[in-house]
Amino acid sequence: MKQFGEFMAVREVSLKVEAGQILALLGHNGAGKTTTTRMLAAILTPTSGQARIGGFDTVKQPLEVRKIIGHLTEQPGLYNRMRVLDYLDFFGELQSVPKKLLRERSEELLRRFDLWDTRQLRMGEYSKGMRQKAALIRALVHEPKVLFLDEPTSAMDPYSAKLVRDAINDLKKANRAIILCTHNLAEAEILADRIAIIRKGEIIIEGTAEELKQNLLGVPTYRVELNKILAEIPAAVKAIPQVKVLEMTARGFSFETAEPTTANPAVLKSLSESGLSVVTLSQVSRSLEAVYLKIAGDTAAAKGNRDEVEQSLLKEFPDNERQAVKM
Amino acid sequence: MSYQAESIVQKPRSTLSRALIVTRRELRDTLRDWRVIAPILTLVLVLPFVLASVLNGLSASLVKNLGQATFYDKLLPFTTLAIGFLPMSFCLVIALETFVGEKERNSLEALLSAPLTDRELFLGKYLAATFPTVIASIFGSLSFSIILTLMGQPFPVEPVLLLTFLALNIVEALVMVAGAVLVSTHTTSVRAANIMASFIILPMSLAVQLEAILLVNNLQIGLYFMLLALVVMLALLMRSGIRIFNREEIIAREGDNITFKGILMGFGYFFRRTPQEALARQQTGLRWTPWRFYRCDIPQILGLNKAANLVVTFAIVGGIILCIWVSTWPIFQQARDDLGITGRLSGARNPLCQTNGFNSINIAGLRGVTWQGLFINNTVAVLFGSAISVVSLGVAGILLLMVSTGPVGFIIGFFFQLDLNPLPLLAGFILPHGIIELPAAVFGIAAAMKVSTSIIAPPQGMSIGQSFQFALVNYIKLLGLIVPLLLIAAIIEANITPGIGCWLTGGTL
Repeated sequence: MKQFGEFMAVREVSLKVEAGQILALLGHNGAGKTTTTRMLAAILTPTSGQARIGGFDTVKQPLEVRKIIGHLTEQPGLYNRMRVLDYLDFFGELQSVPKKLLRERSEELLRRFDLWDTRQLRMGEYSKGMRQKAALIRALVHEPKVLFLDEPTSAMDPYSAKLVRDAINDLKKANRAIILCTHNLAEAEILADRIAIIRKGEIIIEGTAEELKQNLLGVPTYRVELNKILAEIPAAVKAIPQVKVLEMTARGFSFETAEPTTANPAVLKSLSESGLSVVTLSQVSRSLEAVYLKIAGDTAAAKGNRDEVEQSLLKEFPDNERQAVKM
Repeated sequence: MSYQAESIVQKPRSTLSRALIVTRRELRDTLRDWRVIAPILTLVLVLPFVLASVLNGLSASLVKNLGQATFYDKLLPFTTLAIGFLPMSFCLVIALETFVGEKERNSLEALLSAPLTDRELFLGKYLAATFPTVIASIFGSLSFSIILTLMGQPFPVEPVLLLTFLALNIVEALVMVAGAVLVSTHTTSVRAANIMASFIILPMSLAVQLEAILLVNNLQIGLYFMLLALVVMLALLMRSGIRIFNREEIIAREGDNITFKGILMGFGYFFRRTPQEALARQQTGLRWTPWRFYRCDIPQILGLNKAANLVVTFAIVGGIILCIWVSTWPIFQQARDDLGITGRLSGARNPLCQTNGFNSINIAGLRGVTWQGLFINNTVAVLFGSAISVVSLGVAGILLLMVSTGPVGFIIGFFFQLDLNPLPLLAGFILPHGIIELPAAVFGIAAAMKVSTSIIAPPQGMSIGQSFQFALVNYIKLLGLIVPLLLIAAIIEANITPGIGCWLTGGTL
């Protein structure tokens, strides 16, 4: 928990990120993401509660924590009169990285992120995306075990963003634990093993992208496209017990089922027996954005009614996962 | 890209060497900024050159009008001293933006995430701001002296005095930078820090003026005392700076808006709670009653002010001892004999006891030694002492108390010199009311000193503003003890003290 005067910035956050995992922390502006990462980076002291990073307590062993973390802050905030290599030398020296190794590593990272050719420029001359990449390299230069990345690609062009995403995936493979704060839901979905949504300083839901979709958006929906105009959905399809037909269009229909492995072949078989040829059978895409907007748009939540939010979420979760949304 | 499984970092280095990493970067950054370098060069080279030229050109007429001794022994040495102060005050901008400037440029958070202790960070930034300031100051004084000498004038200061000037300027620079770095850690914008800078520049300008007075009056020993006082202040500021440095406060503090309602609410908050409740950010639910006020609030404030009370008390005792020693100086012994103090000190020949001369005294505009006059006089004195304490970290208030109590030291000294027993005089004329009046004055000055230092060392969990409000409320609450004590002391002093005093010293009142 973190309180500033009378303002409660973070109420209840319980997170665990293993080595080789990426956790995406999603939330509105002011939801408590930055305060949470600042507490984890041992910059802010929690008003109550405890956090351990790589086994070190953030309050009792802040120096040890800061030695093993890399922190990409929301604003890159570089030293404008410095060149990027001097900048990396400075932070590398603070992290006690041997000079030769530091230079090698700096060059490797600068080349990887396409900044090597601009190393002679003062960082004040960098574009927004270049500044963000330089800040990211600074967070990586001492090979931290744990990374806090706040909006790592927000100011980047698609090519640079891809470079950064690939780098984050490499870090994951190299067994780094990563907390990614982002508003880019597609990026979170691509990169993160687990997603936590924070609102008003509380983690209100956490799980894999699929779990969140399953639990918040209900059972998956499938769409069937046929090779001819359909007058009516065949009775045989309607008769399949696991299938609930949702809507019909001229050349097809959509249905939902909780058991696609048995229901979908049965649907195909019924259609075939009815003399209909299937062009496509596909799952209707359900994005993380839909999950996020469902939570964000919850009226009760907008009014800040915790009990109602909790109850509404609990109803949608299976018994064994209800603890995850317990507030 | 390859990643190593094991940590690539070495064993961390010592505190100073890590602090110096920060210092080096800051210095490089400062020296690349022409907006900083150009004015410094102007102040350490161009201005001394202009001043030296003017003084050299006007030397003949100045010697004629002011006299040779004034020009060479006073004006030139003081110019040498003052010219070192000018670049120092400009360099303050570097110190003022050490933390808050980085915060504004959003580069501070990355630095705070680095494995540096608070001490290393503070020290690194402090040293970076100190180097240009100290060097510019030394350079300013030296370049003026050298340029003037090259123009054919004698070297403007004696070597010993030059060293004293340089030492004074260096310590002043260190004090100013320490104050500015402190300001930088407790403000939310560079603009706010610049506004706060006047609280540093103003006292230091006064210090330079005091140095001028001492120099003009050939009281060079005073310069050494000033140097000592500045060193003590530097130690206090550095200690406070490191102790209250809080990276959380720096990164989390937002906005510096003042709202009248907010200020009133803050005062209300501290008035309603006992000091301990306010510190613990709790409320025990005890309603405010006179009983609670005198049973809880006042004792707690006295407890919180214990160290300050002791400092003021020791200063008074030290002042009295100093005056006993000073009374042995031939000049004061001569004054003692010239004024016939020897006779006046025995009650039998004390004109006040013999002729009831108390009625001829005017106190606070009232004729005679009346309790009203004494009460008004003493209350105004304590309030005045408090006011000057607030703007001088308590120093001026303590000096005022020392001046007020210093005569006791002289009297004791004179009695010892005359082989007389001072106890009847002290016990008769001072003790009856002094036992109440003196603690009241000590409490007042000490509480005012706490108000002054509250912005340097806020209690944990309080901002500077809250700390100031808390100390001010405590001072106001303490007046609930001080004023009644002064009233009782005045009544005793007007009605009881003269009788006891004259009786104990053999007078006839």
